[in-house]
Amino acid sequence: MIKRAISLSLLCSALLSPAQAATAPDSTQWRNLNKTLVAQHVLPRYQNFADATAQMAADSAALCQNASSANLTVAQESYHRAMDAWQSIQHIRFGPIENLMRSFSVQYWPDKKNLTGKHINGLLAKQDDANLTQEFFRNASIAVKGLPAVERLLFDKAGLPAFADNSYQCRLNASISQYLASLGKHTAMEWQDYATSFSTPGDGNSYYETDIEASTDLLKALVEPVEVIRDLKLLRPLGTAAKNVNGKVKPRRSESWRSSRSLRNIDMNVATLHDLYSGQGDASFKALLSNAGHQALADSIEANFVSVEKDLKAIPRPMFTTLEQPATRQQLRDLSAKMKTLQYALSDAVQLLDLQLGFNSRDGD
Amino acid sequence: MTAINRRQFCQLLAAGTLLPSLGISPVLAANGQTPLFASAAKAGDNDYRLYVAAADGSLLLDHKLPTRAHHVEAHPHRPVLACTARRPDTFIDIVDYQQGKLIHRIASGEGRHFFGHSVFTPDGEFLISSENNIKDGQGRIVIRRASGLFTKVADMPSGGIGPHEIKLLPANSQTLMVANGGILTHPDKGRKKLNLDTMQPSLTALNLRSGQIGEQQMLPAEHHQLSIRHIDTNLRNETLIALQYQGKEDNPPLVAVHRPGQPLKLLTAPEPVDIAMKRYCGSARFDSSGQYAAVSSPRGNLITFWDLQNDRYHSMINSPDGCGLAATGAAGEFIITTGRGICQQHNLISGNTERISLAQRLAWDNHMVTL
Repeated sequence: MIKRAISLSLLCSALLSPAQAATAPDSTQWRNLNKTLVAQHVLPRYQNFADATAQMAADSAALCQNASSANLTVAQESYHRAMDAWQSIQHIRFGPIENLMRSFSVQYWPDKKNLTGKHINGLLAKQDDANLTQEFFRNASIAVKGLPAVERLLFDKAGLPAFADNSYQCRLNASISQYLASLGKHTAMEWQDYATSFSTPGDGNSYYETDIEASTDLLKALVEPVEVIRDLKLLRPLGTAAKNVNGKVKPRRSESWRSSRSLRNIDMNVATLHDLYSGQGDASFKALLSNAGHQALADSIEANFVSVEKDLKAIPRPMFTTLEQPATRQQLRDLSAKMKTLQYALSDAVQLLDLQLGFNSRDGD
Repeated sequence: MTAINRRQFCQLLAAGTLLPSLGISPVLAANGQTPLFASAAKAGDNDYRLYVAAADGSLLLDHKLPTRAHHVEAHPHRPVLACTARRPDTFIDIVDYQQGKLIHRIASGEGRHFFGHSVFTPDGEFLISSENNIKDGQGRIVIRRASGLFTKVADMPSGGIGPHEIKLLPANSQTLMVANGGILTHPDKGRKKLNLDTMQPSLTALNLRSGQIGEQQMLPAEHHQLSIRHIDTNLRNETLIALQYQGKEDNPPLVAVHRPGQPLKLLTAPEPVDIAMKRYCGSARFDSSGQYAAVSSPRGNLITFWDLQNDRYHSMINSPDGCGLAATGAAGEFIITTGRGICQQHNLISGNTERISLAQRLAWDNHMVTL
């Protein structure tokens, strides 16, 4: 903490020469940023999630019609694309995805009590057709209607026979996929309406009163996931090996280990945050930070992203098995340290841009 | 405390003068601006202030505080606010919001700090606060005269560690409900929580006259890490409790209700709502009818509403960093303030939510009070 404060104050004094005083962005700059990020970053990603889940629903239904090895591969591939799409938009935790707790419905994870497994096994044991309706899924536990449930069903070790003869397991998977497709479609549609809020804050119809309030939501989506990825996706699976070279790893804590895509999820997450930071040229957080007189910090965050992406690529996969190797553990520990640096640099940027991400939520009283 | 003061206090209690006086509410004539609510807020770096906002969004009071504060209490019939320091700080600012001036700054005194909450007795004669006796970490409840030099008239054990919010039972103004949060802290260690493995929170009914504990309720052993921190009481002597979880389980219950002589009853919302509350509630308030309750979850960015007629979850709204809650005069209606500077009014019966535009964007702190 002390180290951090010093680095920030050094940074400020180094950059704040009297001639070039730093100024926070004005509301025109914030609005331009908000509108661009929503149009170029948010909306296409929700559309992509809607398209990918629709394809997954179609391919899951086709698998039940004809349980061929080729169709199983196609269904598994379309699950991968839906999960790619979700990992590329899960950082947006505000707006229509908040309605009816959709975000938790798409992916309830980490699932420390194995709720998904218990619910899915319960449904498979009952074989009740009433539990395959869209009405059932609207009211069902969030642990049973998301991508982790699809993953469990589609990547079942029993393989193709589990889906033969229009089996209950196959139809359950198709029904969950259909529910996700509907959720994806409605979320994307509702975002079209929600997006107008970023053009006219304070007009009485907008969800936002000011431009800076809307920017705060977007900046939160950039900053907070870095810590979440590090804590949940890297450090939890590392277990006691996170701090101790002889510690014990916990491979089953890896995200999406059944479909062998734990690190691919992180690839998507980091690339997405990188795009949110600097992907839209002049209308990006990076550009605003530079314009506000913090060029050095803006560049170092960019370099942090590039470096994290490079290190990620070098880690052997799937993490579920490579976690056991001492060399991989060291790579993961190093990656975690780099993400911490990135997290601190982004926190500094938040302060310099004069935004407040959480006041009561971080109070602890 | 001196014996004479203590005796005077008990005599006042015996004479029944602590009963609420009939509403002589202050009227602010200034340009037709009616005061709406009072709350502490962060105005800038190391700049914490106490504000009164008017119904038209203007600020009627802007009072600079020594450091960050927590709860604000309104005097029952004078235009006076008591703004209590956030733990582990040591002041309560007594402010006249019509004249815009500090009347008195109470110091917790040697070896003590405040925990963030204080309440006036219904007659407005006394101010009661929750405090930490730093040396042994025991919670204390302190009663001071609410005028002059604010001298101490009573100082009694709270019945636990870390007493946080306190509320009188309205139907019996001699009983103080104390949320003994159970978390041990020491000013030398900042805000660090020192006893999470062994913490034992309780809800304690304290007789202000005798200092005796009338009733003390704890949660079942498996829930000992659910800190009982924020409470409210209604005319039926029910106490609403908002919990903060200090353990590692996924989805603990976060709301409870107490009725005299009965164990604490844990309430749950539908699973996704419970999960979305992120194991942390910040404030709890009854509505003006006493039937409905609101609980804020600033980490989950939502406010949940509850119906105490049948002890059930009613509904929720999203509110980013929303924490401060207060009832309006209408049944089922609350004002909500957020750390993002937003103020909303929501009526759970009509489902209607409205923004209240404020002149300035401030990070509103945990608690607020309508005026």
